[in-house]
Amino acid sequence: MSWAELDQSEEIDRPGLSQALLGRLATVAPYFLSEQADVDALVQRGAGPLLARLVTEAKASESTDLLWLLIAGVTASFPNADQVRMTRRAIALASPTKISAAFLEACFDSAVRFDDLDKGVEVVSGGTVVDVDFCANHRHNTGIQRVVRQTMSRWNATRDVVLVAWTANGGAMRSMTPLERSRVIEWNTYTEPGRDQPPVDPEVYRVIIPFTSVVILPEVPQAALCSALAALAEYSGNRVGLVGYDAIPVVSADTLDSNETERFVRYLTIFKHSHRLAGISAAATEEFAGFAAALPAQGLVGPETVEVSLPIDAPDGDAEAIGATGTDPLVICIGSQEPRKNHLAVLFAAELLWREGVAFRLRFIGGGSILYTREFDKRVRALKRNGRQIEVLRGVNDEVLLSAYREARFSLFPSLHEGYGLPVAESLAFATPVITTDYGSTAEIARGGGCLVVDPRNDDELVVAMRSLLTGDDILNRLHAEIAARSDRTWDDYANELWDQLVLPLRGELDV
Amino acid sequence: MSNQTTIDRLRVLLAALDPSIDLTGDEAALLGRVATHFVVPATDTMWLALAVLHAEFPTRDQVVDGIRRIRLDGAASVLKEIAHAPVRRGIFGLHPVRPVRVVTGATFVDVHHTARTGLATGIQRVVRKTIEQWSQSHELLLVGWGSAFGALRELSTQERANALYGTYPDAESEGTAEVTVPWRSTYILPELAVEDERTARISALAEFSGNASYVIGFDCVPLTSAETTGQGMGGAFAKNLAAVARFDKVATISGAAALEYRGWRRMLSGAGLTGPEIEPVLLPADAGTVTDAELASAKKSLVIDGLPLLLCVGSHEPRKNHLAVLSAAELLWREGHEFCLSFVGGNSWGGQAFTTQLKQMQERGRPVQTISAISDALLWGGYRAAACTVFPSLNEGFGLPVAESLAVGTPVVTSDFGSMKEICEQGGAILIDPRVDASLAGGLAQAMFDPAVNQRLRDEAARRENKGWNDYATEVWEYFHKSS
Repeated sequence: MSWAELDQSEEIDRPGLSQALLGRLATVAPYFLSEQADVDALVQRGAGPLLARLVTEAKASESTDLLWLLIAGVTASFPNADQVRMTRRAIALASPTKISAAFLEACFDSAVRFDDLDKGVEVVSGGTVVDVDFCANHRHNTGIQRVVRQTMSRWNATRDVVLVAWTANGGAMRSMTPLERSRVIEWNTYTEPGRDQPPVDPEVYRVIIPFTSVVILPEVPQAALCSALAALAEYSGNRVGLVGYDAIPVVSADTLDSNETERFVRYLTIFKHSHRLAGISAAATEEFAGFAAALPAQGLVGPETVEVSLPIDAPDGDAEAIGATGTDPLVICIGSQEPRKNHLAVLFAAELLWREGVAFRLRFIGGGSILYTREFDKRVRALKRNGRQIEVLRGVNDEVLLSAYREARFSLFPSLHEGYGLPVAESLAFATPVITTDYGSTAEIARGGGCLVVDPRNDDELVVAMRSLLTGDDILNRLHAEIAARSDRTWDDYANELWDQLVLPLRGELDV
Repeated sequence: MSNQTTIDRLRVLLAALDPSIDLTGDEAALLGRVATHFVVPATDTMWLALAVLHAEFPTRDQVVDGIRRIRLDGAASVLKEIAHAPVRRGIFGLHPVRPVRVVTGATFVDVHHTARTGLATGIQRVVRKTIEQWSQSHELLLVGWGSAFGALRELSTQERANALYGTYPDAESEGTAEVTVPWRSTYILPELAVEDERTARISALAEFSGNASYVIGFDCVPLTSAETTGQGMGGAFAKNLAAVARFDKVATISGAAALEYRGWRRMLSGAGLTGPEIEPVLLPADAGTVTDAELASAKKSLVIDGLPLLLCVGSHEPRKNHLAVLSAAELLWREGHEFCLSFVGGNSWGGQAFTTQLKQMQERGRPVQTISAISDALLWGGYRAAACTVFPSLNEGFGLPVAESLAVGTPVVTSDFGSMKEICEQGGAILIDPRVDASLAGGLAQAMFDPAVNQRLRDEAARRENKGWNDYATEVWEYFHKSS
């Protein structure tokens, strides 16, 4: 398709499209041509001559940076790796007179599909672009979202960052509305005007193209965005940094639905072309480092991995007491009911102790998929019938959770695999001792004091630990003293350290 | 075949637990004797009891739960309950209860897929050549799974033939074959198991049964190069890895595959797992033979207009990077080089872009073609007829076409990393960056069109010491069976 044909094609025959294209080309042109006078002269001559010149520059360049930028600029969408390669081949083989046509034929399909051809673009050069698409569009606020919101509210106040979301069709990064920004950086103070809705594009937005910038992905991007982000990491010349939460969908795939693994292996295609990852615990960091160590088999080195552990933090809010009250001590077990959390071991250990005559109340708080909760609930009902003091609270709010942490004698978290083990940290923040797993991320938190650690695959260790905290005060008192003596980091510490360990080294690479 | 009763299965279990014990008496007497082995329940005997009494191999949860129930309620009552719980009757519950036998001290080789497939690609070739060699010097029990992947059973004669030689792709299983339970035995998995039910049971076998467990590891591509695999493969493969995490040893088919598996093993520590021992045993470089007539026929198919032949073997999936081959060839034609390019390999997932591009180039009159009907004669004739072969894959557990080309003495242009590089350690190849078309074109220009370079590569290839299947099979067997 020639440029002239393109301009007349029905599909894109909307007012202002040519003007929008010229505007986008003029926006990216200064990154191709060092003299602004050259840019101005070409803009005067129109989109055709300008495009031909920019394609020629991209072809002459050793690296793919300019090509990626040009595709993004012309199509107002981010290409995937196949599109970059196809376009690179097309212009490599095209004669000088047909170079624009070859370029457009190879990459234009994506633009028509994503329908953003009337949009203006903004190039962020030498900046720090942070992709907070999910938090901007959703009100969900558990693990990852809490990390993102706590961190971004601080970075926004003290650092120079550009927060971006994605267009609803997944075509490109875009600017955010004030409400979307509030969802990310003012979580505790802003007011949500309406009900939670599926993401839609704002009425007015700009496509944002990072170039020679640092791009930070503090979320695990949705599957639909992974191929464009992987291509950005591989071809755009931007330095890409990730926050790594865990590799549970690969390592503990036997405890999860296959779809979760499918999503995650797409995420790993971004990881392998990215430049730096900050893991939320030493264990999570090691998981990603292990994956990176497999990459030389395909001629890649993978990113640097560095540990920036999450802080110990209590969720905000007031406590509200819900749940059975009683004189016997309360033991709580927080977390969704799924096989990985090892709750059947908790039921077994509790029943053994109840049979010994140890008196206590056991409360589970957390949701779960019906796939797993059926068997769990059946067993809980059987225990209840035998008069055991056990209850399962689902769908309760944070207040109920906080009140449980406060009231509990200790909490149980013998998970088989965690990237961090948030309930351990939360429990400690409420000065409630924890029995948790003796390896991985939970063991790291436990090392600071206040926990008993057990092998979660050894039921006897769990029984012994629970008995020791239920039948006497000595160990419990010691754990309380340990908690009081803990010196834990705060969200301020985390946000600063993440900046220093993830962003600054990448910014340093830009200057080279 | 006789139906087994609950009492029969109790006797089978008891005999396995204690070969010297009295097998007479009624159910209560037998249960009492079995119960003495579960005073302090252990995972291996729990696994065995569930496998035998249910005529189905247990999952991890079933073993763990069985032990907990015995500890709470006592062995006799729990075992009685297990013995009387519904027994697996195959899919839809239509089949009679399968008789169960326990085999001690044997080498079980799980070739379920190889026994039933008409395919003869990389993995099947490795499995067939390996078990053929093993079966000549060792007693093997070749096994597969029932229709619902509930338990292992011995292969039928036809399945066995297909597993070894690929001669009965539609082999029938024999009705209600006995459930065959390995005990104090060795379980070897030489093929890729990706069925969920199967991997869940293999995982529990490897973790709990006390049998030694060994597996051949081909690659971790669905995990490490997900962009090159179809939907569904990543999820299934990760479940395979979750089972492999419980095995004793993995023999990978190359050092590159070992690198991938070792990287994955590092990922396990966060889940409190140590993972298997992993060692590479490089696959052989096998030189197939052809007759003069076959060679002439292969030339006729592959050579276009009498031009020097560039041969590219492999399916057209994105990982094989065939678009780069087309692009590099176009660059070379434009530079005035004269040659023809023939691909030998089937279409596969993601091959659409290749097919389109190839068609466009053919329409422009380029001497390029693809042949999907592969025969041994075409393949081995092609390797010999080619001036050079090309294999610029982005990730391979073992680049078989590289080894095959070098084994017949034909130069190769291939990727400068991973197993491809490893296979070329003795020379005969030019290594290039497969992600840069100009690098590929440059390598091809040297290997194809510089006579001195082509001859040097041929000399290097001719001097190679090529390993045979016998060497490979022996190395794997010895690695598996040496005490670590």
